[in-house]
Amino acid sequence: MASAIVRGVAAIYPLPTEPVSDPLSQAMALTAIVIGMAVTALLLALVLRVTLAFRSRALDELADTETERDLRLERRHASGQDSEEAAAR
Amino acid sequence: MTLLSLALLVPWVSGVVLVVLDGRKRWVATLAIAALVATLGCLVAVAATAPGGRVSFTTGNWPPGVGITFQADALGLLFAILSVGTLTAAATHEVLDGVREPEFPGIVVLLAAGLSGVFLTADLFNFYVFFELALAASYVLSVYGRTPRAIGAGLVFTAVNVVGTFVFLLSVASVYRVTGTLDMAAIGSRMAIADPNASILIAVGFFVAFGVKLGLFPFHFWLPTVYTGSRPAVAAILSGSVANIGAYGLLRFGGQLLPRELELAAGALIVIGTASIVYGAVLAVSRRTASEMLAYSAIGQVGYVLVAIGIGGPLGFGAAILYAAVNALNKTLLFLTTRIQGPLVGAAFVIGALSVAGVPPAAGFVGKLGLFQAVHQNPALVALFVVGAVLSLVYAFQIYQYDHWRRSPAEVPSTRRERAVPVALAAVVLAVGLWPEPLLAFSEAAAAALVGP
Repeated sequence: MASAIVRGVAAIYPLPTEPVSDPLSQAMALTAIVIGMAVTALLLALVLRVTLAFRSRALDELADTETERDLRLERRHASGQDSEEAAAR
Repeated sequence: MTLLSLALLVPWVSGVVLVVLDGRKRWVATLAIAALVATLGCLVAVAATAPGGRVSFTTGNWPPGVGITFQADALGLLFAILSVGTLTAAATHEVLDGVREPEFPGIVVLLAAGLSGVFLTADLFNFYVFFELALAASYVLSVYGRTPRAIGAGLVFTAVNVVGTFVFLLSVASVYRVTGTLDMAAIGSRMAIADPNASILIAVGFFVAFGVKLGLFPFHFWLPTVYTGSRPAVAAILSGSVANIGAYGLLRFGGQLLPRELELAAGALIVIGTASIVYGAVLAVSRRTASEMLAYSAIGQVGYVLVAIGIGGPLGFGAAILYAAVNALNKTLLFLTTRIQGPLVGAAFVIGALSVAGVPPAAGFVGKLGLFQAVHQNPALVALFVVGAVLSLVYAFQIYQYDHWRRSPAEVPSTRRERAVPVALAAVVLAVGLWPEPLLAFSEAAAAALVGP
């Protein structure tokens, strides 16, 4: 609520004699909380998927699996090109 | 006004309905494409009925400044039409190829709702909400296919962008604290008298948020993993439609809301843009697969947009808008041509490659021409752009040689349905290059909307 412009009573039923607090920053904070929670839930679901797909939670192991696969792909690609070039010759 | 609200309501309502239906059925996918085309139609109709002018309405009949305002000016409309257009093309490609996950069509339509909301709102907090809607949809899209590779890429994409939007939200809250308003038009004038210490922090926050979205040089680390790990249609959507939010955000927030800070940071922006161009082009040359090359090329291409924004003024902004538009078309076309073979695919790839390098008959030439007009007084930048163009020619034709020139006997040509959209997009890129006047006029109007009062 640090970004509220004015302080005062809650803006539910404002009286003309009393200052009213700024409702906008509260509304924004609430919206941001809701969105943040939904997105965090989505992120958590994704983490679950990753855990199931890689059978590991440790970041290092994930990175190792990725590197291994990249190396395998590269080797396959390189050998494919070599054989193509040999065939062309 | 009716058309403007329809452009938001059509994809929103149909997206919510479609996302619960099984998108692998043909009629659901066809409905989704119809919803996208209807959205695109609404946007084009708004642009046609208000050429150069603005259309705006405030929700709930509140007086302007109290209610949430939607506003369509040339800049927002150009980006909205472009993004929904490339999104429609990529989704049609995937539907013709065969949808693999039940939620795909609905999520794409929801993404269209988020995108047109982002580009057509005049309220800062509303921008954040639509930004999150578009991003949440793209998080789901990034794991599309559910291969381990796509899921890993999706986790990286989601984690990075969650942090990015958090930084953005902090800046939004600070803007409200400093100016006391969320209306974009009012922020521009009130920011000019704000405390420079606060406003520079705010500007840096926005720059980081949009830089992450665009994949600019220091924030690019997530981009290659994601673009190579996801399916071609998803990579095309992420780089052709979702990344437009970054370019639009830099233009709108830099050019309209924080012009003073943009001028102050012009030198830094040009340096970061240059680093992006060089880094992207050099790494793209060293890659051997089409999707990796395109991912690094994407980092390089957004560098040009940033340099043009750094130069500023109507000429610089015009060039940035034009280049961002052309780049989105190129990237959609090129990503869709990966993983397909057969007659005309090679030709479509060549047109996209020529467009990236900026060779005349393709649309890229128009974009490069605008850039050179903006920087012609600065020989160092002209030299940089020439080197960048030559490098892009090298990397694009390297890939052409590997993938399309040599025909390996094991490959079967893709079906005509799979080849239809890339070939049609190539025709569009060529047509824009041959008849660039409408796009030029549109981007000039957009730049005028940005620097005008």
